[in-house]
Amino acid sequence: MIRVLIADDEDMIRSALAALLRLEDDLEVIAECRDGESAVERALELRPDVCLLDLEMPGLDGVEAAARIRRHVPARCVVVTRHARPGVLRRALSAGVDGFVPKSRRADDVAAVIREVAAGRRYVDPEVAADALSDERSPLTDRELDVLRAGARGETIAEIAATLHLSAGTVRNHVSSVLGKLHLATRQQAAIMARERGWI
Amino acid sequence: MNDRDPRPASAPRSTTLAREVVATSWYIAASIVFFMISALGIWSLWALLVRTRLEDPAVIVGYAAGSVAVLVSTVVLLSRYRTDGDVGEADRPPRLRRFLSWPVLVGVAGSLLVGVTTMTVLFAAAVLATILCLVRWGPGIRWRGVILVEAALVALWFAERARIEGALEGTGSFAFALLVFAVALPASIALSLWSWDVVLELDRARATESRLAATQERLRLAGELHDLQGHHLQVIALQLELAERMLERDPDAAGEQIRLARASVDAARTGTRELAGRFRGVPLPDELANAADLLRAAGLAVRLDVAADAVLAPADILGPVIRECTTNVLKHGGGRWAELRLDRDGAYWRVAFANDPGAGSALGSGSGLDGISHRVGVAGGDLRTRRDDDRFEVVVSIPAASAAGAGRREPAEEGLPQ
Repeated sequence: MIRVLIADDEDMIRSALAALLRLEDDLEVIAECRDGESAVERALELRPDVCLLDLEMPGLDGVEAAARIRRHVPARCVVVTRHARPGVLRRALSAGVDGFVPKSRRADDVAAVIREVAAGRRYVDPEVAADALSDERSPLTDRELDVLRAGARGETIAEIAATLHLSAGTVRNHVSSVLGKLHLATRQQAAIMARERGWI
Repeated sequence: MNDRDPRPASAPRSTTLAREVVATSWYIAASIVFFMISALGIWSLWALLVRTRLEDPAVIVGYAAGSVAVLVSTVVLLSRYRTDGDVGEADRPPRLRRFLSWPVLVGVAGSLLVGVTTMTVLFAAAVLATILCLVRWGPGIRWRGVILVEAALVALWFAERARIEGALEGTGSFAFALLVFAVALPASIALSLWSWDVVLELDRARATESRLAATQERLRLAGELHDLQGHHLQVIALQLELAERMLERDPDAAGEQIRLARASVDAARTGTRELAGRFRGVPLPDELANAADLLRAAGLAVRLDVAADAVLAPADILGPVIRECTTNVLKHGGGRWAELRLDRDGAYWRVAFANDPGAGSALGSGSGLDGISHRVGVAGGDLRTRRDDDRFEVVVSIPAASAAGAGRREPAEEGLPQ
């Protein structure tokens, strides 16, 4: 019997998926959670074999929840998502997530992935991988991405400089080259674009 | 739907443009520095040869130090002018700090030194005005200031002309050169900076234009998406309505309608994905680099070799190969290392994926590879797998001739409503 925890903030999807998974003989849904925090809490308490986590949840998202769960419990984690931004897949893989499935998969496919992952294999859905691979490359360097990330909430140049331990002039140089590469007029636009593309 | 250009507002064009803008900025900066050096040079003749006949070491040292200070200030201010030109006003340092910064102060000190050693207010004022020109002022301030400064410089020329021409003992053309270099200095530099701002403005306008094109592309996508989803939703609604009506009279037929509705949902999804795919599509080298990034994120040591002309390889056939192989390495690989290669071997393009075999590779060469093997075969190429104890390798070769003009992805049209 594989003990499964499901976390999804959309009630209809979560309960339908849980009901469908309960129809499988070898799966037991032991918890249904509405957000990342409660998923982490319940996972520590119940120690499930596999956690099925929605990526887009308020508060803690699926990847962050998976990272926290894995720090304390040897559970395997599968992240479910509607559309996978390539940056997210990269983040998920480095956080040690074992499976990545699009939401559009049928419940019996999801059950198969759960079995696969529970057996110690990794599963990345071809559709998700295709999205991740056919995405535009970020033309920015790591340092430039750091600057955008540090300034993503409207921080001033001086604040970014303090966060990254750089001089204001250096930060300004990075910003100028970012705007040049992306052909944008303001730092805010650049941050929005970088977030949309999953670079930061 | 025939006019499909899968790439929204091409980026390469704006990149070459940006390169020209950079070249222009270097050209303008160099001409400003050159003009400054010429002015300092010609006035050094006056300060050192005519006025003191190289007899006063203090004047020589003072003029040299002043010139160096002015040049350093010019270069630093120019580079700041460039950076500030690229970022928005909000990200520039506050205006007061722009004027009280060290390059400005060095420049002011330099112009004072130059003034004292030449014993002219004229040249000192011209150099000072030029340094202040190099600071970014508010809109419309610089040119007004330059006009006032030019008027003042002409007035100063009339005030000091008698003394200078007297000392030159009638070599009028040299006096005229001194005049021209002093009076023209601030104006010409202000003009150069103005032209630089114009170039930058034009570049931005062009970037805006390409963004506009991208937006129109997006609107077109939205329209097509609406048609496609609307069509499928209508079909699904009808199938479900039928199923509901038949539920009591004929449960089997109702079940069949529900299965059909699920098939319609799948068709809608596939169609949507293909539509979205048409507006994406990256060159093969980028796709391989993305694959390497992903595998690295999964903790593998990755080696990536891509031939320089790999953009010419047929993306429509090799793209799926790369995707399938990447997922296979993630799923079935040993998780320690991978090697990705795309190169040209004579008349063939060759993609090779190698990795350490994993324990759970019961699926072996992978069911996904069969489909690819078929597609590759149709294109006249072949797929080979080789398995050693410590290495699993997939090599796909495609004749380069079939690649001619096929560098772009051409997604299938199925699933789209007519």
